[in-house]
Amino acid sequence: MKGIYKFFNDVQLDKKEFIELDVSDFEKAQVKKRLKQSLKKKKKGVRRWRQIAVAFLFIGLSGTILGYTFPAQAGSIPIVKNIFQFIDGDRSFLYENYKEFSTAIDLSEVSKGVEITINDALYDGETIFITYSLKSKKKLGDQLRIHDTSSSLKDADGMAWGSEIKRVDDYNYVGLLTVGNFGTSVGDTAYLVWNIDKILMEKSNTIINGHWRFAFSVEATSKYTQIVNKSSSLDGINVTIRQITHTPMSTIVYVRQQLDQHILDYWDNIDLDFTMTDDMGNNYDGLNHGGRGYPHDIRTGKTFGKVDERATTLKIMPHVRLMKSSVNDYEPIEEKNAFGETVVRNSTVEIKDFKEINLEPIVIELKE
Amino acid sequence: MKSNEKNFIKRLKRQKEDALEYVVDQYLSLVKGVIYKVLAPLQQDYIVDECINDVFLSIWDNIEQFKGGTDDFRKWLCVIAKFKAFDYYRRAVKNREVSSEHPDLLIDPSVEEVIIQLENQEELVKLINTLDAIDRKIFIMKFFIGMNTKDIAMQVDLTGAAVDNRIYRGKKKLQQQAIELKLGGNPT
Repeated sequence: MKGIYKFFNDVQLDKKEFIELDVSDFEKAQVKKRLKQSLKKKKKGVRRWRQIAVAFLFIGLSGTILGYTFPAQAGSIPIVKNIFQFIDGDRSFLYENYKEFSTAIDLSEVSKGVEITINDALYDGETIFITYSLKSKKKLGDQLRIHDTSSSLKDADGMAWGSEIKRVDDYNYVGLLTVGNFGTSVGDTAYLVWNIDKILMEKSNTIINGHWRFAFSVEATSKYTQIVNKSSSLDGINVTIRQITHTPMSTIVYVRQQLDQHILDYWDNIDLDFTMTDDMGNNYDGLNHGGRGYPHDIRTGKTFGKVDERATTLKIMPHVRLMKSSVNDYEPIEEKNAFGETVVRNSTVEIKDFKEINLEPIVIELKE
Repeated sequence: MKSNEKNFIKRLKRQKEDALEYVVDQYLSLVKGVIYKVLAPLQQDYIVDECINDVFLSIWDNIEQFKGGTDDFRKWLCVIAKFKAFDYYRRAVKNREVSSEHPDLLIDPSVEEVIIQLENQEELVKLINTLDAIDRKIFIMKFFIGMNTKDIAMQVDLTGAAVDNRIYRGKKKLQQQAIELKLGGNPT
């Protein structure tokens, strides 16, 4: 309850407090946009981004299962779906029926009084999701971090690992490991080695050194790929839908983004995103993959929820956000702010130019 | 239906997003002004941006606690903007020296700490409710909005000394109760 706002009805501010500052339409639009994002986040929970390498940003997908109940919380999270949301509510829309398609791994390793168990794994041909649980004899605190070394995914030439772990009670934690391969195919079976060597307790900043080593394989779920190769372009930006892969839980759209040199020369930041609808009036939520390639030619993709079986066409609407920013370093100068107070500045970062481009939608006939 | 001057409060209460957009269009310049006045000395624009976002989100989340019409809404919004800006300022300078331009922001850390920790929780409301109406008003103005004693005195029609005296007594009372509340265990 945020009851304090009720009290604010009775407070009078002095007239001198009511100051208005000039606001541009652009600023208003920025504020609205930010608010919308915040409201969306609130609805879905917190979205986490992980920067993996320079210029490569990967947003892990997740799917999870735990055939496991925790005595202390048995009443509150006994259902698989709830545990999934427990770890990452933001992405749960993607794998509502993943339980049917996941593989039970059930491997446990004990070291230094800490038992780590790999529960289940799911591989959709693109990303591998692994759920694990951690049981300790001692209290480990609210926040843990799992550190691994020389872990690998066979045949992958680039990987993005993301691990999240959450406390269930004083002695139990559940976690989700996401492994992506930047779009290179590792085949229908993924062979993984996960080698945990440290558990960090964030609050007390203490480390448990141990050995928890897992090696296992996961078969990809059945999938069907439709080659599309349809493009849409405008003003030097070309977006091609390469293929669509349907898995029992998701729909993965593979995209190629090509940019003319003049776009790269002028703009500093180029963000491609796309939304997807079908002829049954559904809007799909999705999560962007990372990209690989060169600035002028990037292969990327997005994983959406499973497409409605009654749909016969998909409509993909690409939009690109372009931003030019500038950092100006200069000799410190004094200037007056809006209130006549003196401030010293020696560098500024500002958005010099901003543009949003909506490309023509790409319509795809779905094949049986 | 679109939000306008007459229906936006109703629509906000029904959680229609276009009403929030209307509020941004109408009141952003005011919110920015109020916030900027408090946060400008920090010279960190991103804090101003965050605070602006926070103010509008708070309105969205707490609109059911608002009573009144359009004029009252403007005042309520300004109080929230001041409250949030003060809160951001306080957090930002927590480990820094307080600017001499804002001596009002120097307040007793023990009560301040307790209040920050209790913020947004039912306990805080309960706590404030233990004070009488005038003390309550004084406390909100002093601790949530960072108003100085002189301005508070004018609002509640008391002398500055009387306000200080009430703050001193009230603080003691709150401190005692806050400690009890904290010791009583408050699962977060």
